[in-house]
Amino acid sequence: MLYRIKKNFKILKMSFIYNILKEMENRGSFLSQIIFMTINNIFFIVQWFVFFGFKKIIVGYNFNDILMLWALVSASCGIAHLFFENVFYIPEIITTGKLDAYITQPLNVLWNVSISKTNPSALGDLINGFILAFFAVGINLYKILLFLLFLILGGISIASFSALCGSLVFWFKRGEGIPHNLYFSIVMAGTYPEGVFNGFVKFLFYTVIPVGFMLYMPLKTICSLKLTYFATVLLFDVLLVILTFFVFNNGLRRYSSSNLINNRV
Amino acid sequence: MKKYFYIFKTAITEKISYLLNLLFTFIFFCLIIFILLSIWNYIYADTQIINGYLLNQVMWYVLLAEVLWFGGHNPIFIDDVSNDIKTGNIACKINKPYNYIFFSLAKYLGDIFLQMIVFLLIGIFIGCIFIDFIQNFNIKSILPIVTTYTFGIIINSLIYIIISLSSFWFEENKPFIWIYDKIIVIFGIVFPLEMLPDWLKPLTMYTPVFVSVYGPVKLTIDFSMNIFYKVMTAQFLWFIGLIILALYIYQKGAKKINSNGG
Repeated sequence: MLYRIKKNFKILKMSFIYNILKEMENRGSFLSQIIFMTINNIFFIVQWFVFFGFKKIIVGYNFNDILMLWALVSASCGIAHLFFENVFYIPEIITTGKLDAYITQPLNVLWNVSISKTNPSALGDLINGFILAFFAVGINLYKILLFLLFLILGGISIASFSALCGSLVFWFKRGEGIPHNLYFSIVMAGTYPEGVFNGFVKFLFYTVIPVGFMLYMPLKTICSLKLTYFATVLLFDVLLVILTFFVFNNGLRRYSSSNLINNRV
Repeated sequence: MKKYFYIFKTAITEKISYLLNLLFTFIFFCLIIFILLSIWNYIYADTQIINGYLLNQVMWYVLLAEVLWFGGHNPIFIDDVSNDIKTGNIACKINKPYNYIFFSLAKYLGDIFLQMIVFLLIGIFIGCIFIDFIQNFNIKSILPIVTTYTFGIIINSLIYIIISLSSFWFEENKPFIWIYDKIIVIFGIVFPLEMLPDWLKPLTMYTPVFVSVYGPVKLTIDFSMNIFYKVMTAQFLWFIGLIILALYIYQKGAKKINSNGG
C-alpha cells in the first residue's frame, strides 16, 4: 500500500515537472498567463473595497478576513489547476473517446488522467493567494502554516469534486456543462462570507456544493486559531477522494471507445 | 442577409440539443443571484438609500445585469474562433460566400438567443417573487429599453470576436478575455457605476461597461429620455467603431494565414 502511494506520488512529481517544461516551451505565453491571472484575481478585491466603503464589518467579516477567504479560494484553485488540470476536462475526454489512451497504461485511470496536464495560469492563482494571505495575516507563522496546509487540502478537494462531477458524464451524455457550473458555484460561493447565507442555501453549501468544508471551515480555523474544524475538513477530503474514485470506476464500466486514434504526448 | 439569418437559426437548433447544460447554467445563475441579493440586503439593512439607489433598484440592477451577462456569454464560441485561427481551420471558412466577421456575429447571436430569452424570463420571475416589481417602471418605455439591450448584446459579442481575432498575432489570448470579463463583472454587474469611487466613475463611462450593461439596465430601473439618447448615441458610436475595427483586424490577420494542406 505504502509502496503504491510512494510510486503514485513519484509519478505525480515527474508528470508535473514534464508538464511545466512542456508549457514553458512557449515562454511568452507561459509568463503572460501567470501575470494576467494575478492581475485578474486582484480585480475582485475592488468590489470588496466598495462593499466595505458602506459597512466596516460585513456579517462578522472584516476586510482582512475577506482577503484571507480570497487567498484560500485562489490558492486552492491554483493547486487544483496546477497539479490536476485534466480533471476539469474529464467530460470532454469521456465524450470524445480520448480515455482510450489512458486505459491502456499500467496506472490507475483517474489518477493517470488527472495528473497529465497543467495550467500555467494556476501559478498566477497561487501567487495571488500568497500575496493576499500575506496582506491578511502579515508574518504570523502559525497562520501561514495553517494556510499552507489548508490550501493543499482545498486543492485536493476542489480537484476531487470536479472529477466527481465530471464523472457524471458517463451517465449524462450531453451534460458536459454540469461540472463546469458546479465548479464555478464552489468558486463563486467561496468568495462571499458564509454569514450571508442561511437556511436551505447553507444546507446546500455543506452538501451538494460542499464549499463549507472546502473553504469556510479552513477560514474559521485560520482566523480563530482553533483546530476544531481541522479533523472535519481532513475527514471530508478523504471521503470525497474515495467517493470520486468509486464513482469514476463505476462510470468507467459504461465507457465505450470511439475508435479515435489518439496519442499521449 | 438571408444566409446570416440561416446561420443564426442553425445555432439556435444546435443549442436546443444541450438542454441539460442549459438547466445547470440556470441553477448556477440562480445561486449567484441569491448570493448578490443577500449581500445587498445586508448592506441596506440599516439604510434606505445609497448613492441615489433604493434597495429595490439596486436589486433589480444586479438581477438584470446578471441576465445580460449570463444570457450574452458564450465562452465555447470564443474558443471556437480562436481555435479556428490557431489550428488553421479558418482557411476553410475564408473562401466561403460569407464574411467571416458577420458569420461569427450571426453564430454568436444564434447561440445566445435562446438562453437570453429564458434567462430574461427567469430573471423577471425571480425579481417579481423575491424583490417586488420595479418601482416607477413604465410599460411605454419597453421598446427603447429592448433596443438598448439588443445593441448592448451585439457590442459585447463584437468585443469577444475582436479579442478572439487577436489569435492571429498572439498564441494565447485568454488573458485578454479574463481581463475584459472582470472589467464587466466588477464595474458593471455587482453594483451600478454610481457606487464606485468618484475618481473611477468618469473613466468607466467610456468603457464598454456603459454601453453593454450599465446603460440598458439603468434605463430599465430609472427610465428617462435624456439617458436613453446618451446610451443610444454611445452604443451607435461603439457599434460602428467595433465593426470597422473587427473588419480591419480580420483583413490584416487573414493576410498572415499560412496554411498547409493535409
